[in-house]
Amino acid sequence: MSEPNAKTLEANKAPATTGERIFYWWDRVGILLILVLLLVFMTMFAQNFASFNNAMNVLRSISINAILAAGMTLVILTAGIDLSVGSTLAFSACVSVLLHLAGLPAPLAIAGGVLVGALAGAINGLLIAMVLMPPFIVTLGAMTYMRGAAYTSTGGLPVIASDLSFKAIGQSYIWVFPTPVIVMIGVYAVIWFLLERTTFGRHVYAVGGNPEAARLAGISVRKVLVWVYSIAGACAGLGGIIFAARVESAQPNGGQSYEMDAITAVVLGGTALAGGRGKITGTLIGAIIIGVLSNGLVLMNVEYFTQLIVKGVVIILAVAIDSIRSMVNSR
Amino acid sequence: MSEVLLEAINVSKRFGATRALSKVSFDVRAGEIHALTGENGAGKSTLMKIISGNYSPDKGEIRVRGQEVSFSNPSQASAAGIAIIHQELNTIPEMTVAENLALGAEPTKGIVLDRKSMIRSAKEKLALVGADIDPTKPIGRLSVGMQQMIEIARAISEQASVLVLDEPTAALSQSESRTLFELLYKMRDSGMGLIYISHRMEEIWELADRVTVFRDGQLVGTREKSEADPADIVHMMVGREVHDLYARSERRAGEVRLSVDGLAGEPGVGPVSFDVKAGEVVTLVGLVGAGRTEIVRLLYGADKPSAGSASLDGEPLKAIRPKQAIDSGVGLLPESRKDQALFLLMSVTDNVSISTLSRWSKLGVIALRAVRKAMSGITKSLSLRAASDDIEVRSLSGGNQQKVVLARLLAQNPRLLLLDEPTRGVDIGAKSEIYKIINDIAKTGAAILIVSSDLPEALGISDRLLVMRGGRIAAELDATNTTEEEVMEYATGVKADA
Repeated sequence: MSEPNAKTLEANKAPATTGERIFYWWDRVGILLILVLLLVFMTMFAQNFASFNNAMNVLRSISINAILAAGMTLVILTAGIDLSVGSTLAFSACVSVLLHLAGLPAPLAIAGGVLVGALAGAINGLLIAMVLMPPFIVTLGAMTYMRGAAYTSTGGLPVIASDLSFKAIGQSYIWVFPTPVIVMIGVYAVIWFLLERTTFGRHVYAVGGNPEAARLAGISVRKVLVWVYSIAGACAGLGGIIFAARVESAQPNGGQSYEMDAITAVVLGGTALAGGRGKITGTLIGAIIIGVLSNGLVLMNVEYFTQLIVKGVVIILAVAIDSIRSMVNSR
Repeated sequence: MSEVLLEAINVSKRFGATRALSKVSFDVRAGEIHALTGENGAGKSTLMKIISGNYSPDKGEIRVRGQEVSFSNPSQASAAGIAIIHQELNTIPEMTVAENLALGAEPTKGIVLDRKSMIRSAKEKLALVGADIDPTKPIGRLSVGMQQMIEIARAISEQASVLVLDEPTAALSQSESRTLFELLYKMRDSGMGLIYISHRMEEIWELADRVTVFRDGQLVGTREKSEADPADIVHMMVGREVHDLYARSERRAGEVRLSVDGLAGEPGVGPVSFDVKAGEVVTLVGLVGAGRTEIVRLLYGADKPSAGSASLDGEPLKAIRPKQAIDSGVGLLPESRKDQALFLLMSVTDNVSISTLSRWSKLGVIALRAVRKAMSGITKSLSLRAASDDIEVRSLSGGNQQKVVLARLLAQNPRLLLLDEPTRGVDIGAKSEIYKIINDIAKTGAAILIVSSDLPEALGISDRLLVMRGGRIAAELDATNTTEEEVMEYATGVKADA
């Protein structure tokens, strides 16, 4: 007779069927593989694609979207959504430029912009956590009123600030790297650390995976949600600073539909819209894929309208792989 | 011997690293009831899902009347005459009985729904199972037993020759079960083959012509009823003798730890007053809806009390949030581990440590190695069997998942443990281990308050029983000196003093 405790467990053996084997590896390299294939393709077919300067171009072009997407990752991990980040970006950009024009030094102007974003996020978070409103509705409202606030702050017109004190943050280089790229890497390092190494990170996954269990396990679900939306808002604020610094002006109509690009990067990166599953590194790769695609298609002289078609198809294909994966795993 | 209707030959199936079925062979003949039994996670449901076309087997074949088949979806299986009645019913509650029965094949006149003929055909189908049900009623208003009858009626009307029933009596009353059995006999006598999945030995023994036992994804054996007795089958299921399931050893109750005074919740819950001593195991028993779960949730701060108070070691216990309860040394194992306790996508380590992370962190930064070490110490002490502490909890069996929740409580070093149905949905092997864990915790001097609907369990593991009825405590009984009958008499109000 067998030992009662000897229920056999096959620890991490390689999976059996071909389908499972493919997805075993997909789980491990996943979206990175698509990025590599894309890079190989572009290197072969897009002139001047494979150069250090172009790589920096790509990274700089995605920096704002990637920063928004970093905050969006936290939100989506809690099974939420934040549609307001594009408008928040615009309002934060206007606030920081107006603070500069009012004579405040660069650090304060920057802090003001980021703070406005964080506050807007905190209001979203409070409404979602305390009034139990659906994130979609709350942030849809915020998207509208923050856009209104941006227009109101500048009287509806762009405000040029050609001697913007913090324009370096959007335009300069640190050694050979564009400053916005460095900022972006910094944001990802911080959020990676938050998610992987802190109690807050565990709580984010827990709240997204099972809010009732999180509450009974002693987690303050409300606190987590308020922080998550505040961080998403702060990221939008920071994105706004870089945006203003690059265009050297306050553009109240800037950042339209940026929330969709951010959501795209998060979903491409493998984070589940249902919450509880995803990685911040995936989001960065997702953002880079979008950047490489745009840049490569331009270098290949593909028309803008065609680019849209290609991008849309790539997004659907990438996410389809993930869905097929879960279908195979559950059969 | 009568014709073999359905046959599975050497079927294997794995999910990731877990081998759910290995080389299992099984068949059902015309005119028999073949019972399939085994502990949770033994592979019964996996085999049924393969037979009904929900999963495809990795290896092996399925034959219907001798012909090899390969179903890629459930409708192919049902076209081949295989119908399955799942544990969870597949009805749409808001739709009427007739609409549910016609689902997917609604009769029409032109493009307009033909209600008259829909109702007529529903009546015909219901007549097949002898059920007298108004077909225009929304199905959600009928009892589970009635809904099950309707599903069976559908299966018969679709000319099913093989019917699989997965734990059909789980939610049925005694008389509903009787009606069901009569129907099953009738179907058997008409030449259908029935596969009856159940844990309940009395039922299996009454119904089945043959019994097959699975364990750990393997076939232990198939016996004609005439050649076996129930003890053999239990032995096949467990693979070992179950001695002293409840593992109760000498415990000595100490000082009063938990003292509850007039605690009440929503109308109909409380007021209740009772004590639990250090090292004592007290179980709240009673019928569903008697307010047992509500009382432990009030103590844990999961719900708000409307009156009364509680104290722990003489200090007032005023938890208005679970966090405060945990901080004051109270741990809760909730009623439903999947809905209320587990983070299925997170690792074992994360699940165990989630309530105590702050003890392992400075300024919110977790000392990862220390956590892993401490948590694996706890999971080992509970003999939690997971391939590694990094695997997702969803891939564990029910018993191991429950141990994950227990491990989380142990990590909190609780003075009072509230265990709501601690062995629900776990197999008998894991049950006996959980009882041992409870006994061990009690010996360390913690006070343990359990909610259990399993009376033999309540009698077996507790020192005292508090019988609840209508939100109040109807009786306090010495667990070693009472019977299931006495408990039921208080729970149902037949007896009402003490």
